[in-house]
Amino acid sequence: MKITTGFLYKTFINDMNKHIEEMFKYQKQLSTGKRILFPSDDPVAISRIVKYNTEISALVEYARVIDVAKIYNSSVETAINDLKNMIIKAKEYSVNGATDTLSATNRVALAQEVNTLIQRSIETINTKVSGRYIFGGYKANNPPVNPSTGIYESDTNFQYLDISFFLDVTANLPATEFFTYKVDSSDPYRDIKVFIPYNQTVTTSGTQPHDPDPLSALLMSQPSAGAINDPDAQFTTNGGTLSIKLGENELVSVTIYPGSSLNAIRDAINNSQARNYVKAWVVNVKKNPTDPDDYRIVINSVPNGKSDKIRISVNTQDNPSEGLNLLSYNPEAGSSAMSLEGNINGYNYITDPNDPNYYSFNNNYLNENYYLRALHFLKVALLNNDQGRIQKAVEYFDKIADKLYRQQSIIGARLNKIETTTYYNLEVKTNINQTLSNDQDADALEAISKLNQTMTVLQAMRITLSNFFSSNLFDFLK
Amino acid sequence: MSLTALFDIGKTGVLTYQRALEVVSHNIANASTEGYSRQDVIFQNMPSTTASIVGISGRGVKIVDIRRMYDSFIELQLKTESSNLAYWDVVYNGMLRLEHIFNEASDIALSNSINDFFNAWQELSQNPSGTAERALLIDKANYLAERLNLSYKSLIDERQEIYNDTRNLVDQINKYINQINELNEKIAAAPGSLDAKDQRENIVKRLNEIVQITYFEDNAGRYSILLGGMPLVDGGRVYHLNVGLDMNQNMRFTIETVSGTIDVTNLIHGGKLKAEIDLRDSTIPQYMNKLNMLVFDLTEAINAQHRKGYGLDGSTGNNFFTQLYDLNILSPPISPYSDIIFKINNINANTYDKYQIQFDGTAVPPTWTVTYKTTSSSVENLEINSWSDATDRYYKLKFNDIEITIKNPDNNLNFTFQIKQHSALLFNVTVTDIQKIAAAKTNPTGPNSGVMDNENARAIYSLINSRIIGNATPIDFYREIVAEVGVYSLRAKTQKSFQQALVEEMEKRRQSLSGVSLDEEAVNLIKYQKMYEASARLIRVANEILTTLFDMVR
Repeated sequence: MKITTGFLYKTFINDMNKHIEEMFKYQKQLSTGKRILFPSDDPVAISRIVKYNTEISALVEYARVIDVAKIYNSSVETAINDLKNMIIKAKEYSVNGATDTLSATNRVALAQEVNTLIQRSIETINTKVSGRYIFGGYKANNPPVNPSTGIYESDTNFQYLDISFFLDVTANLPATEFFTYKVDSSDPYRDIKVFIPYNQTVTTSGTQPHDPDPLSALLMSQPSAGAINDPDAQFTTNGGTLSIKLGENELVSVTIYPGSSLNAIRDAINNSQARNYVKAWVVNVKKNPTDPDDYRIVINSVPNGKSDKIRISVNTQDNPSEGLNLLSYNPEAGSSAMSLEGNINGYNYITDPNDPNYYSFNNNYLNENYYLRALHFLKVALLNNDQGRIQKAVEYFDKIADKLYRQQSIIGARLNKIETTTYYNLEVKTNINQTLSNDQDADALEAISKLNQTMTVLQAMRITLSNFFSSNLFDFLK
Repeated sequence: MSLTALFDIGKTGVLTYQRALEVVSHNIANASTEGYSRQDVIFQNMPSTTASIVGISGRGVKIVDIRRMYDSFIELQLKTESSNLAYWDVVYNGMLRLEHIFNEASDIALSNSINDFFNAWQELSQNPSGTAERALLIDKANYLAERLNLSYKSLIDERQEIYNDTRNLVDQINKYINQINELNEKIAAAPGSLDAKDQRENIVKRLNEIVQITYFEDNAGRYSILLGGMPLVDGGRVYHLNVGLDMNQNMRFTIETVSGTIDVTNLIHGGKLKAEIDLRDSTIPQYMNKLNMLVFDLTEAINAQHRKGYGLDGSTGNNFFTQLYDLNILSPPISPYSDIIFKINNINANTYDKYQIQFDGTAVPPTWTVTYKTTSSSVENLEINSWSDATDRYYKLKFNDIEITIKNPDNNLNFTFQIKQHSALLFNVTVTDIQKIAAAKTNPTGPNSGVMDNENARAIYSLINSRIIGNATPIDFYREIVAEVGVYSLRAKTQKSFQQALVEEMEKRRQSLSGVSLDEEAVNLIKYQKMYEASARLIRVANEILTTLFDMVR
């Protein structure tokens, strides 16, 4: 095949351009540090790069969220620690206050100390971190607890923050979880959260063996004829006997006269020998202020905090499912008319000392669970010079301290989760960065050696051009 | 045979080699002329005219032909492959520009602004009451909108640019066919005009690079040029090509003939012109559609979630982005109906039609009717799903790749809608009051919630991992577009270099026959020079002989 001059030049230029292009590519790779400059350089890799960049950008954002979540939760932890110290102080006061040698005046003085603790606690609970009240719900722009009334005024929402793909952490701790002791009087039916203790499941079936105290009580069911709207109206036609047995204690019989009302039955139980083991109340269980009244008898064990099984058998001429028959409870025989209630609506909130239900079993529950309520209990007991209740408060503070420990451990778990996630995110990010770098970054060593190679070839081509092309046959025609 | 015949033989030699030298010089002079075919001199001996029994030598040498070294088969192949090369060259360059628009390899990639937008929601979820966070979100959303507007606008500009290029190409085609027609006449008048043929060949080649044509030569040496069977140059006439836009903004090509204007768009194959058509009216619209779908579905998904939430001022039911469809509720008389969510799964010819949807909730089971508003004919592929949750009943209508989810429709719900075209261009943030950004799930001014309610912000953030664009997450959908551009561009690149190699090979073969080698010409130069010298010497020898003869008589 004949190679013509024009073709030789053309091919030469094409080849040289190819090399220069190549050189430009490597040079660009080196100057930008990137292997892929355009999607067409490696379409598959570019698709992955977009994905990796998205993930990295999300991780960077998560790192910021983690910082925020960490600040909030650390602050909550510190605040709870302060509260715990105050509870220890309060316990000291109550131990001190329970000593026989202390005078009433001394106790009043102690009550003042407790009052200071209450105020300091409220201040602590109203801690504000970077513009937000950490013990509030979503209404975190306002103090969660009203300093003058002690009423929790925020909502109970937990705010969650995303700290990783598919993983979130709570940023706040609504103080209702352990703090509220008083309920807004304009809204007496507001639910207070009731904790179910670890070893007990409350069932409403009533047929299960159960541990009614301190979290639950036996609630009489509604008579088939309809709700009772007057606790003083006749309830049992024929009267009869209630045989009550608590745990392994002796059986106690209570005589109920014919024509007794609910209140009369309550008083009969509370005035008989049975009062050593149980206590009865009459409560209005209507859910809503506008609902019709619905009075029932509630029975629970005493003293407060005593846990055992209750059995009530009834001997009456009343029609089945009516009158005294509604008060039978025998979970072992399976014949139970009363049901087990974890929390009786409207019953937690009685704060009037003149109310026969004041310091009732449910208050007991609240006292153990709600910080300010326990302090308030001690304060009132100190003011009233009530040595027994001052003694009782010690137990409350132990339980409250326990509860604070529990909250603290929850926060600890959150911080732990945050920390683990930080490491996890970091690891993921490192991995992604590495993979991204494999796909995206120029291999400097390779690029440099390729660049050198191309430059050498180019050099050779130039020499060829100047030596080889400079002469042709015409040069030899003399 | 007379002695003077020597002079004659010498003369033929001198004249012939002078001519041959002219050809060699012409070759040398055109060594680098594009498309020049080397000319070669064919010599022939001149036989003696006298009859004799003994051997008689001839009367010298003559040139019988000056040949163009030309192989029409190679030329044809070269033209075809050059035309393919031109096609891929244009496609490759076009794809390079598209790659710039979708360049994810750079740091200012569009996907970054999608990420930033969603991260701004995440940022807001940390402090939903924050003014700075809210302002930042609006800022990022605006930037995303501008980025998408810009990308889309670049595609529109690119189409316009290609249209301008195409018009230039069409002008060039018309210029070329005029020139071919002129050269045709020259060649017909002087069939030996080799260089005119070369010129014409060159023009045909360039024409062929613009648009693939077929041609043949008639008896007089004229070329007829055909475009997919339609004549451009024929029998001394020229038929000019025109380009314009149809109602869909696609390019239409026409030829003016005696019998009228003929649409030749579909007859165009290969060459730059076909590449421009493919790029402008097929490839780019495909990416425009994808961007439109991305924007529409993103807008709808964000808006639907945003409408569910509450702003700091307690406002709810607000859109975050500007609504990208026209909705007209005919009954019941309320508007706007915020419980209708649209989704496009694929953009097709029917996407932007106007539809009417009627619901009969009293029928058992309830019936839906979907009709084209303009023709009142029902859509054919209507698919209806319904489900209920605790409080609400939902219907999902699917037709023509459009999905409509309707919550709790009234029994006599009746509405028309039309999805706006160019949604990527209309993409815009509608929320201006930062208080109205719905970060909360429950009204923050109400009793059970507050300013730190971030549930809706988190729900919106989580959309980044939801299949809200067709059947893909926003980033997955977008990176699919980018990868597709990359793959197509890579294909164009590979095709181009393959074609280049092919053309180079052809060129080598052509050059091997038609090209000028200076060394070869140098050899010929020496050869013809020596021959010339020899012929001249011959005349001198004849002269000397004659002198000798004359001296004898002196």
